Amino acid sequence: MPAEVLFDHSAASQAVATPAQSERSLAWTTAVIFVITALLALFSAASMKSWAETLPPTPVNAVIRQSAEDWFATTERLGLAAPRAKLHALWQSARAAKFAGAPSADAPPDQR
Amino acid sequence: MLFPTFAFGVFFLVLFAFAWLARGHNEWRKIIILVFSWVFYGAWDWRFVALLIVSALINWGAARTIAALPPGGRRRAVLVAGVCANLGILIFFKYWDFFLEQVGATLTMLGWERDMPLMTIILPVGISFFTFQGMSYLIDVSRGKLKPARLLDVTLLMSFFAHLVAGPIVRGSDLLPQFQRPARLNRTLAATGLLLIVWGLFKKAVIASELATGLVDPVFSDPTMHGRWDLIAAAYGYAVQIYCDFSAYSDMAIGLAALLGYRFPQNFNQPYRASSLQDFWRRWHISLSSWLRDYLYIPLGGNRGGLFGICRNLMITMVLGGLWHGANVTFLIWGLLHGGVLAIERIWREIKPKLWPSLPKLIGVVITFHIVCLGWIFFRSQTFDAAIAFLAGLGQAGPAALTVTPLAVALIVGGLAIQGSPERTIETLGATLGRLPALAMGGVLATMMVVVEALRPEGIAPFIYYQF
Repeated sequence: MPAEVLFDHSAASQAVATPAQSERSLAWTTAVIFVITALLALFSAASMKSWAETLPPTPVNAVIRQSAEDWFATTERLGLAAPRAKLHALWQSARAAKFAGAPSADAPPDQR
Repeated sequence: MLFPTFAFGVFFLVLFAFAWLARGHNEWRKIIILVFSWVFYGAWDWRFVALLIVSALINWGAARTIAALPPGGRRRAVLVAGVCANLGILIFFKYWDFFLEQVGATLTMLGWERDMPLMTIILPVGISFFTFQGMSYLIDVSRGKLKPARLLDVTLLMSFFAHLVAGPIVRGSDLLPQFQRPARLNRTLAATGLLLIVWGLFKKAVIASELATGLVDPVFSDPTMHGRWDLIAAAYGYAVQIYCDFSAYSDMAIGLAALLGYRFPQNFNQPYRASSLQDFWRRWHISLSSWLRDYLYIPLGGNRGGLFGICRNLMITMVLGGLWHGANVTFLIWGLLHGGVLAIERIWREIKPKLWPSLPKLIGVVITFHIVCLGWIFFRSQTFDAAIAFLAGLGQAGPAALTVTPLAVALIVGGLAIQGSPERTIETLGATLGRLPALAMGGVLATMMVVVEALRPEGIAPFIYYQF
């Protein structure tokens, strides 16, 4: 199928996928989404933990928050959180880099 | 509920599952997507959902009435009433207080001071988008380009969560025919959709957010406190930020719709590689510029009526396009600037001696980009005075301290470099990656998402175009 089809709304382009092809594509897409979700749960549990921390304090949310924290701790213990953490640290050092003549981070706000 | 958040991810996964489980029943599938769309919109304020339903009912009823009437005065009257109803909703929520403030200021100037009944109305998210969509639907039906659709389809057209709050302005002619047949998925569509979502996530969460918090917001909040280099960097930075922010939303909207089996029109096509302002408007917010062309510029007379008529129509269209963004003199100036330069380009094309060579394309790109950046300074500034202070600061040495960082410069350069990539890169990549096994494709996309997650700041600011 040509790449241009994404922005093509014609009936002809819609008709390209037969019901059987559509079913196979749906199975493939579902599998891709499942793999992404699983890998993100393993390697980016910090995002889930950050989200859980923003939830309003209710009994249900307390369980979600605790589960997210426990899961993050597990991935940390297994070393799965390390790649994201390393990249994050590198990014933070890039953010902190300044040109000569720029005020330091502890300067008053109006001089930064 | 913002696209690049964990909550939205969970929301979409549940919708994806339900929508495809109901694939054998197109009507139920649409009802599911509609209910999820209302949940999405209601996350801001449930009262907005009622407004959306009322708006859909008005457009559905008006379109059916228009189609039932023979061409003539009554049909035209219903069309005008329907368009006025959409405009009325837009004006009431978006411009009413601004209008009263201007009336109050005028009365005060005339020595007749009055307290105006300001209502401090909450602006429903995305109101400019769904009212324009409603108007185009009615006009298309009255022109015979579109048959009146069923209530469910019209309501879903106007409520579909993917485009609801920040476009693209998806017209009935784009989406209604797709609603009327069972949705189908193919691997290229799905792979391209997934890529667009991840690419949009990167542009919004990494480039736009970092530039906003690290450079643009601090500099624009008080330009007098910053030196020339900060101001130059912030002007370029905002050009990159607004592109990465708005095109990210469009990319994600197109990608999310694609995963549900629907195709949205393209909204951005590397706008900063435009070699004229006319070219820019064929590449920037394409769904708005084509809307303004089809429903405003052409009805005003378009390219008919001689050079004066063309320039007048361009100015009116761009000024109204500016005010579409909000009731603020800065948007008016932005529209005037774009309209004025479009008119100058048009005049130059008419009067340029044929023997004179055309401007080299690269020079055209550089000039166009800087005109667009000048417009963005007015667009981003809170007030006209702030924009003037910003422009004045560009000519002065000012404080030496630098806010701009090496990372911000790298992001600006990277954001501009995107404009130079081959056209349709994502679609071509989608077609290639769509051939991979699911495990490999999932691995590639998950790696990209972990990188985005590692680089993004804590929390995420709303998309710039949510306010419109």
